Amino acid sequence: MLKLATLPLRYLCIVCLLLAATQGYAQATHNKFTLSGYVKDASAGENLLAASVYVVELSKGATTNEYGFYSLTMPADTYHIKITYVGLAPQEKVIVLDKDIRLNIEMGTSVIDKEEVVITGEKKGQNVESTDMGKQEMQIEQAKAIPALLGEIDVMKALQLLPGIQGAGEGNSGFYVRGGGPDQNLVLLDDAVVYNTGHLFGFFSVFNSDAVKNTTVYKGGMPAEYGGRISSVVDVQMKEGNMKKWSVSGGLGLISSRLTVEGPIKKDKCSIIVSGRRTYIDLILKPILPHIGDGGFAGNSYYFYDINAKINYRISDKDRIYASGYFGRDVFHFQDAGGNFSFDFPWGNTTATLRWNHLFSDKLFLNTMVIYNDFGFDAKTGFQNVKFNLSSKVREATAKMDFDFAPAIGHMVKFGWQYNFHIFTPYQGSGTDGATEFKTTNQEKKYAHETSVYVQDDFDVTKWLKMNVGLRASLFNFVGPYTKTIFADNGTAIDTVSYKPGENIKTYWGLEPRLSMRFKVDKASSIKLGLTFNQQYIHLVSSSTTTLPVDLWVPSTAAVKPQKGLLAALGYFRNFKDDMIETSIEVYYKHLWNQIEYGESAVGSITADVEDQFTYGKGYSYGAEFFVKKAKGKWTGWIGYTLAWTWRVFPGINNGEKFLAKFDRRNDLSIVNMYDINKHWKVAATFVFASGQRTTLPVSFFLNEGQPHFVYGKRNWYQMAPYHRLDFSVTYVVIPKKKRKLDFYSDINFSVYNAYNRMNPYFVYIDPKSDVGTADANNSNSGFHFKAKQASLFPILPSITWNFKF
Amino acid sequence: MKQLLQYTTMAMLIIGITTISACTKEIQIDIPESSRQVVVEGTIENNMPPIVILTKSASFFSNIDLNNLSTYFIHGAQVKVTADDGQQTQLQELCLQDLNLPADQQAIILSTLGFSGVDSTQVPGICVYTVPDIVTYFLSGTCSFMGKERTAYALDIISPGIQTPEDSVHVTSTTYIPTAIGLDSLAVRDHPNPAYRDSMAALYAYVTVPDTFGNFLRYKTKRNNEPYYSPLGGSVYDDRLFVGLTLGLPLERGQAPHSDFDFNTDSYFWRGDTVTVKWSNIDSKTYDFYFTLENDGGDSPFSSPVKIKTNINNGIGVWAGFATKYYTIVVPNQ
Repeated sequence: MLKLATLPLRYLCIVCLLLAATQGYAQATHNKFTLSGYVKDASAGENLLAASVYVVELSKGATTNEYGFYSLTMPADTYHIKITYVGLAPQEKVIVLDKDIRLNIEMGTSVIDKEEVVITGEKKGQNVESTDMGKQEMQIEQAKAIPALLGEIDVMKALQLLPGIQGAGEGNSGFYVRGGGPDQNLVLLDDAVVYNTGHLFGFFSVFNSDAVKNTTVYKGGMPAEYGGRISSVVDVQMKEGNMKKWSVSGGLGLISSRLTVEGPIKKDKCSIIVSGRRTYIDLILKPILPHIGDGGFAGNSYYFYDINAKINYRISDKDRIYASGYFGRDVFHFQDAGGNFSFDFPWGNTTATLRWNHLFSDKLFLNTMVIYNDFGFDAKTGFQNVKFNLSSKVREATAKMDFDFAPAIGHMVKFGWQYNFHIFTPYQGSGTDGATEFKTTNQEKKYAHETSVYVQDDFDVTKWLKMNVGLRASLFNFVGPYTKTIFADNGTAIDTVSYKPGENIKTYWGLEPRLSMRFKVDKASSIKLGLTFNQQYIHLVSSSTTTLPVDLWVPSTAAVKPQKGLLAALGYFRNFKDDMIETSIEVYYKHLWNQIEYGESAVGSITADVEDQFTYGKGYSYGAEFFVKKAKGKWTGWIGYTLAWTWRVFPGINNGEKFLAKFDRRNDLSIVNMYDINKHWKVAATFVFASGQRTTLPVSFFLNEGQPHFVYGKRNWYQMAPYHRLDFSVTYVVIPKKKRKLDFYSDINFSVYNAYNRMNPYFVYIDPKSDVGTADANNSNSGFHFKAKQASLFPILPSITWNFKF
Repeated sequence: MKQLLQYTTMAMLIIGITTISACTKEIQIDIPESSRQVVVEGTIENNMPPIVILTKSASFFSNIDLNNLSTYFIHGAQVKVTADDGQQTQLQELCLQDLNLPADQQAIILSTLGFSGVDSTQVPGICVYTVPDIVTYFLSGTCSFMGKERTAYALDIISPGIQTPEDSVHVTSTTYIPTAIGLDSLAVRDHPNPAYRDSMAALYAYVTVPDTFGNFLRYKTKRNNEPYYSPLGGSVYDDRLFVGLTLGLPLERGQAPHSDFDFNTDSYFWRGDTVTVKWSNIDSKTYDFYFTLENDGGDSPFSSPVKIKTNINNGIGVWAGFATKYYTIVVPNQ
């Protein structure tokens, strides 16, 4: 067993060794020089992630990292360099590489590209060339083109149109990737973890599309630089702010509006962006609620808001710092008309990230980060003279260092370390009856340290074989202060165990190898293989399928073991017509250990330690994903289809028999179309089809005190009707006839969600009727009758949004 | 406390679901065959004889009405109760129509069993298993076998088979009647809404909770001559929030099941009423049964189905011991 005290020191030593190796390697590469620099957008000065820098003579290249940095070390020679990025005019440079050269590129729009929209963030054939398996980039412009519920652009919902990524259903921002649970997805906003990605129980995303620059999702083949979750990574990058000029943009929608202000505090040196959004559901309903029913809803309100802010300062060519943050809240106030009962329930996420980019050399880039993030709620209720506060929170402070080292063209080495300090606050309640105060027991805060170190290399073995090999080592310590009362079955307390601050209670650690390989068949096709093993030390255990604010994140403890996941994937990637058409077929198998569910008889309670209600098991899933994308031209879009099975096996559930997971979805189809008619008009349409979600319904009932109560059948035995929906949108871009001093852009977007008004199943429930005790024997309506009913959520919903920018 | 949490959940559901707008439709579903089970609804209370109702679970789309209710009762079972002090009794099956009880007493028994407004002559098959001299109990308040505090009771049933009567089913259980701790006092307070102050009032229970864990409570209320009803928000509590404390908590009024929920009236009592509170200490297994029974929200986006915990071996339901104290108060007129 590794000793706790020496582990951070050992990790630091590993990082130092790697650093020394990079320097040694640099000195050893004779007659090779480095071409490096930053690729930015000319109009705003934003760094461009995944811009392609391609060396024609060597048929190799590199892509920029999330800060727009690239590095290519090559033998001294003259080279043609091609730089490409979505929607921007490609550039070509001729470089005489006889010394280390810094080449910063600013890429601008072109007249040609405005009429021929290129919807791809990849360099030509990137899907075939790279070792990336299960990786997708989505630029925000792409997400904005997709019709959205009530006009609210939702990056997370847009990702769910890709094969292998399934939404948890209407009105739910959770998602499942290749059979993994919703807590198995690492969602990052500027490297800060976002625990709850939905406003209003998941109806709307927490990500303001005006503040987001880019979203990268790994649904498989997660590289070693990411860890802590076992199914996927969704890495959302905020914009940095316009370095060239001030601009204001925003939108006015049916239920919310947004405003973004960005600009240079000092041109090309320091910029800031502040973006806010607020819904006005409460303002719309305020005059209506008093007239509903007996007016009992008057005084109730709900609204959400969020703010994104970022400032970045380019200290020098080698150093740059960024500070960014997100603050979002849902605020719910309920008051019954009589004033007997009141309820205030704010919840939301907070993130703050401080980053420092440093260039040690043209080959070695460092990103150092200090991050804080939290999610929680703080509810206050009052009933007559009893007041009660209930809160729950998960908080995290993180320090990270990520090194990018490009020793030679065809090699991209990444290594680094990460430390997280977690504080978990379960349901903590306290209250008073006016005279006496009371509080919850066994709801102590839990503290944990999580440390990891990783190294990976993405390199060309031969002309046809490229590999990405990585290893991540992780360590988790559950520490005091912590006190737990252990109860016997009869409710009496057996023992109380206490741990001092910092005292180690339980340690887990593990190695997480990552491997992906690309075998190039020919210029336009390749076969890829991916194998990854991941560990996850914190868990979300929910008693519902929707993202409720009361969902609880818990750490691994003596009772709760880390989740583990092994993913194997094989894929064939083929492009046609000069990369205009991209296709792929991927098959996968995923095995999961130490999965957590609430026990069959568990009832959410604030008086019991939640982990006492858990039961543990394993899961496995397998499937095939088919993808066809038209990436260029006036008409673009894709078709994604997944055929998959997702199983769970829990000794304490379903009598130990395997059962299909709630989110098992046999067939999942998405068809996305976008067409630019001309410079004024754009249209888009989306069709989705998914096999029905599974649910557990009763199969019999019994009487107790004259009332029926259900006996449930096998877990998730019933499959609801399939879900399918057509959305479309029309956008009119307003172009002033005369050029004005103020460069004002606006468009009007009209969209229809669920165009043919299908009543898709939201959930199925049992509607009991009558009561045999009060029935009349001659009354045909007497007795117990159960009917199964299906609740649906959204009918056809048109919306209109006005977007502007100046 | 539970009221606060129940109201909170209800408020969120009201706003979250109805404001967003949902529509429902009836659907047809094929329910798989499931084996029927013996259902035990057994109670033993201090100073009262044991009463055991045996029924069968019903397939999901069965329509139970007055015409076929009797077919759900199990007849001809051998039921025995044994106390841990060695005392034992064999329960007899008694059907209401055979007791020739006055109508009001019949109604009391029926309401105790959960059937209100039913004329027993219309329902020939409502039968219970209890002590042979139950009539003596009704007349004098004593009988041959009565529950005692701090005593465990074993229940042993040989029931005719459910699928075929020839295959008998052996069902067992144990329960414990703890100490009847009771409450300190009841007090009346004004309704917080002036509009209701003349007609209704709040009732507070002042309790001292023992300073060791392991105490569980169930309460019901009765209004005048109505039956005892459980509060809609749930009738059972554990002591983990209140261990060792003395405090006053508002009582929720018990109501007939499926009553409409109303913030203004649910936790209040009408002025002029005589209110009886049945305050029972129970063991953890009895608590588990009623707690899971009352908190099964079904499978929806907001909840998961709850498998009701049972202390019955080879069956479902509950064998419940109650240590009860009764408190009566007249809610004064304004």
